[in-house]
Amino acid sequence: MLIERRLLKNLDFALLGAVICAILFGCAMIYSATRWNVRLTSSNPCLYVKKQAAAAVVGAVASIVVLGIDYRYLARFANVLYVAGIVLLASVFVLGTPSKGAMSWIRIGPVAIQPSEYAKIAVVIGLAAYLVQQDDLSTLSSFIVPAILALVPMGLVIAENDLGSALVLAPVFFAMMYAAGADPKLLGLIIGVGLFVIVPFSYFFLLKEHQQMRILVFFNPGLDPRGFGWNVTQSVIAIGSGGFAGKGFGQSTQARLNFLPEHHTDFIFSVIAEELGFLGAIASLALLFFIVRRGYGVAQSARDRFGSLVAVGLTTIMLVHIFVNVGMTMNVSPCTGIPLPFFSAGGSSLIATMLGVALLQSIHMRRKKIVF
Amino acid sequence: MNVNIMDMMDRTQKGFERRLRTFQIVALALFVVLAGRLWQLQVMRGDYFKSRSAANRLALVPISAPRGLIVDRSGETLATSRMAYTVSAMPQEFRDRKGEVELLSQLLGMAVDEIEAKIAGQTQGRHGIPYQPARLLEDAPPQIVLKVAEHRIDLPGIIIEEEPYRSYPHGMLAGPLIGYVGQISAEELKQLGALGYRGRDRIGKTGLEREFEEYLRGQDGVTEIEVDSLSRPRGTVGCTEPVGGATLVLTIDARVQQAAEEALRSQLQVLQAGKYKSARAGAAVAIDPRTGEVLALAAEPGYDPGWFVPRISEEQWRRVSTGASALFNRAVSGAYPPGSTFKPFTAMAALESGLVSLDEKFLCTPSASSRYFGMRCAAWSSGRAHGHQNLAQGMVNSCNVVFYELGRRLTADQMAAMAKAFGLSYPTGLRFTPPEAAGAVPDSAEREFMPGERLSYAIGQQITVTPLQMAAAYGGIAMRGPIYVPHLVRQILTPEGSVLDDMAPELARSANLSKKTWDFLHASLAEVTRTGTAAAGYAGFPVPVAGKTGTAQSPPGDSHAWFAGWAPASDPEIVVAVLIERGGGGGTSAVPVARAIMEAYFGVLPPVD
Repeated sequence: MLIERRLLKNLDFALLGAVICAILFGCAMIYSATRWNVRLTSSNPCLYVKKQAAAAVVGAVASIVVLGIDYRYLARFANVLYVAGIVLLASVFVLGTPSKGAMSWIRIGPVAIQPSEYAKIAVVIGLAAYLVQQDDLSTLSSFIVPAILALVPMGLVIAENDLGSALVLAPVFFAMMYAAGADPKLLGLIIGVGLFVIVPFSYFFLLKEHQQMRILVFFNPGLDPRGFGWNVTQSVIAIGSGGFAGKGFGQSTQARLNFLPEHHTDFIFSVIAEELGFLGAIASLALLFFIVRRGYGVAQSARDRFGSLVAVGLTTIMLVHIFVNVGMTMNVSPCTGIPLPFFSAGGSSLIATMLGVALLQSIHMRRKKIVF
Repeated sequence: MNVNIMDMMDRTQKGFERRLRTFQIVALALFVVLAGRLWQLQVMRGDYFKSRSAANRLALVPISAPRGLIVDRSGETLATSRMAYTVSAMPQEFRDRKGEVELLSQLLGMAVDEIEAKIAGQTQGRHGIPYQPARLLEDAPPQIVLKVAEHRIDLPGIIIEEEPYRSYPHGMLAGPLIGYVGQISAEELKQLGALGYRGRDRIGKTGLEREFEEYLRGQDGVTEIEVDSLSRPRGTVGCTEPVGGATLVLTIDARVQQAAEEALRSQLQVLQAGKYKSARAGAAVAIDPRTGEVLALAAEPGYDPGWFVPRISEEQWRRVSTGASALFNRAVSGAYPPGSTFKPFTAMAALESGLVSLDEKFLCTPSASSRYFGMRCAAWSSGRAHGHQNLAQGMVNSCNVVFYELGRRLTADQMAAMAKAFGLSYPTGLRFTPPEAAGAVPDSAEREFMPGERLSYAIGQQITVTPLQMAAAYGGIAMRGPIYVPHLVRQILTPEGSVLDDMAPELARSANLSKKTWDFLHASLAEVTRTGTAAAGYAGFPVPVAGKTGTAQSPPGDSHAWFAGWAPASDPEIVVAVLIERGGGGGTSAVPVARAIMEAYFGVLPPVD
C-alpha cells in the first residue's frame, strides 16, 4: 500500500467531497456550454466533457501519488523543485506553440500543457522552504531574496505574454510573506508603491495596446462594446439575464448563440449564472469558497510552518483565480485569461488545481493532533 | 528551557495563528463582494438584463402586407396587389462571395459593383440590418427568377422572396386620381415613424393612394427570428401574419372616367394639330349633384401608376415631371379664370339685387364699346353683333355687352358674394392629395376695383376657380341651392368585404335664391345647348342639357376653353365641368368633351360624322 491506512483516515473528507462536487458540476456545465457548438465539438456534444473527465482521471492518479509523499520531503527538495519549475517555464520559449497571442503552451501530440499552472506550485514550495528559514522579515533587505524568487517566474510568464497568470503570483507572494511574519507596515508600503507607482508606470510604458485597452474597458465596458468590451458586456448580460432562478440547464442563449465567447473556459461562470440563476451561481461560489476555507484551515492545523506556508500559498492561488475569474465575468476585476478552478474546461488548470488540493490533503493528513 | 524564550515563542506562535485567521476573513470578504455583485446583477437588475439578452437574440423580419384594393362604384378593379419575386442576398451565407456575386451579376444583368453596393447598404453602417436579406432585384421578371432558381446550388447566399407589389390592371385609367406608391422618404419617415413605418416601406405618394394610405396600407406581419452573434438567423420563434389593406370602393364610374380621359386626350390631339398648338393639358370633373359623389375626375396629361412599380426609371420620371407635368392634377390643383362660365353668377347677383329685369333690353353693337371703356363683345371679331338682347338672350349667346352693363350696375362685392355663396374661393372639401387649390374671388376688402375691372369681373376675368369648384358650384345651380361635398370614396371595406365605413352625402352649403332667379337660370342655361353657344356641340343629344360655355382670356397665350353644365336639365343626375388649358373657345373645344362624358353616363352612342 502506497499510503498508510492510518493516514488515509486523516484525509479531509469534506474537502474531498467538495472537490468532487465541483469537478462534476463543472463537467455538467461544460457539456451544457459546448453541446450546441458543432464547430467546437466536431459534432460530438460530449467531446469537452470527455476531455475534462480524462484530465480529472489523470489528476486523481497524480493526486494519489502526491498523497503518498510526506510533504516534508518537499522542503528538502524545494530547491530542485523550484529550479525545475523555472526550467519548465523557460522551456516554453523553445518548445511552445503560440495560442491566442500567448506563448504559454507546450504541445505533445494531442495533449497541450500549460507549464505556468504547474510552475506556480513549484514557486510556492520554493518560497515556503526559503521563508521558514528566516527568523526576521522586518527589514527591506530581508525581502530581497523572496522577491527575486517570485519575480523570476513572473518575469518568465510575462515574457510568454500571459500577464494575467503572472500577476496571480503577486498576491500569492504577499500572502505568504504576511503569513511568514513579514512586517505588515513594510508589506503595505510595498503594495502601495506597487499599486500607485509600478502599475501606472507599467500601464504607460510596458503594457501593450490591447492590454491597456482591457484596463480601460474594465473601468468603462461601454467604451468599445463591440470590441474589447464585448466579452465583459455579454458576460454581464448573460449573468444578469439568468435572474433569480435561471433560464434552465442547457438554456443559455448567450452561449448557444455565441454572444458569450469562451463560454466553456474563461466564462463558464457566466453560463452557470445564466442557466441556473442566482441560486446556482451562489451555490457554485459557496462550493468554491468552502474549498478555499478548508485550504486555509489546513494551514491553521498544519504540523509545521512549512506546511502552513505551502497551504497558504496553494489556497491563495485558488482564491485569486476564483476572485479574478468570477470578478471578470461580472466586471468586478479586469478581463484576464484566468480559468475558474475545477469549472473551466482545460486539462492543465484542472490537473494543477487537483495537485494543489492533493498537497493540501497531504499536509492535513500529517497535521498535529489536537489535544482537547 | 528559558521562560522568556518560551514566552516569545508562544507569542510568535499566537501571532502566526492570528495571521492565518486573517486569510479566512479576507476570503469571506471576497466571497461577500462577489455574492453581492451577483445579487445586484441577477436579482436587482435581472429584468433589465433579460431584455438585453432578448434584444441580442431576437430580430424581427417584417412581412409586407398587400395593399388594399381600389375599385370603382360597380366593383371594377383599378388597383390591386400581385405577388412577385425579389432576389435578395444573405451575405453571411455566401460560400464563395466573389464567385457568387459574379454569377449573380450575369444572371441579373447587374454590375458586380452595384450588387456589392446594395449588400453593403443593407449590412453596414448605423442603419444596417444584417440579418435581413439585402434586396438586389425587386419585382424580378420570371425568366430571371427561373435562372437564379436553377443555380441555387451555386448560390447559397441568395434567396428568392415572394412579396406583394402594386398592380394597376387598367394602366393609365384614372392614374392621377389613384396616385402612386413609392419608397418612403426620409422626411415622411420622420413624420410617420410613430405609425410604425420603416425605412424600406412603400407608401402612397399622391392621389388616393396617399389620401387613404391609413386604410390601404394594411398591417405588416412579422417573423420573429433568433439570430446568433454574427447575425445569422438560427430559427423562427414566432410569426404574425400580415393583414391586407382595406378596399376602397370609389364613387368613380370607370366608364365615365375612361370616356372623360379619352375625350380629353383626343380633343387635345385635335387642338394641337389645328389652331391651338399649346393645348397640352386639361381636366374634366363629373359629379352627381344630388350626393356629391364624383363620377369622374380626369386630368391630362396623365400617367400609369404602374410606372412607379417597383420604382420609376429616370426617363419615365423626366416624361411625367417636365413640360405640362402629369404630376400636376389640374382638376383639383389648377386655378383658372372661369370666363363666361361665371356669367350665371353675375346674372344671379343682378337679379337678386333687383338691378335688372328680365324684360330689359341691351344693345350689342360695336358703338356701345365707348360706354364700356373700349371693352368688346366676342361676337364683334367675326363681324357680327348681337343687337337687342334681353338677359336670357345674353346668357344663351354669351353676349358680353349685357354682362358689362350688369357689371357697371353691380359692385365687385355683390358679385363676389354670389360666387362665394356657391363655394367659389373655398376648397370644396374633397378628401384628396394634393390638397385642392382654393382659387381666388377678390372683393373690396382685398383691393379697390376700377369701373373697368368690375366689367371684366362680370365676365369672369377677375377671379380664378378650379374645375372641381366649377362642377360643385354648377351642381348647386342644378339642384337650386344645395351643394354637397364632393367625395371620391363611397365605402371602405375590410379585405373580407364587410363594411368598415360608409360615406353619407354631406351638405357643404346651400345657396338661397328666389324661385324666379332659379327658373330663369334653368331656362336660359338649357337654351344654351339648344340654340346657344353649345348648340352645335350638343346637336342630336337625346337628353336635355343645361350649361354654359366659357372662353377665358389668359394673355399672352391662347384662351382657356370651359364648359360647365348638367343633365337632364330638369332633373339633374350629373354635372360636368371641362377645362382645356389654352384650348381656345369653350363651345368648340370643351363642349365635345362634356358631351362624351354625358354619352358615357347615359349610355348614348356618339354622333356619327
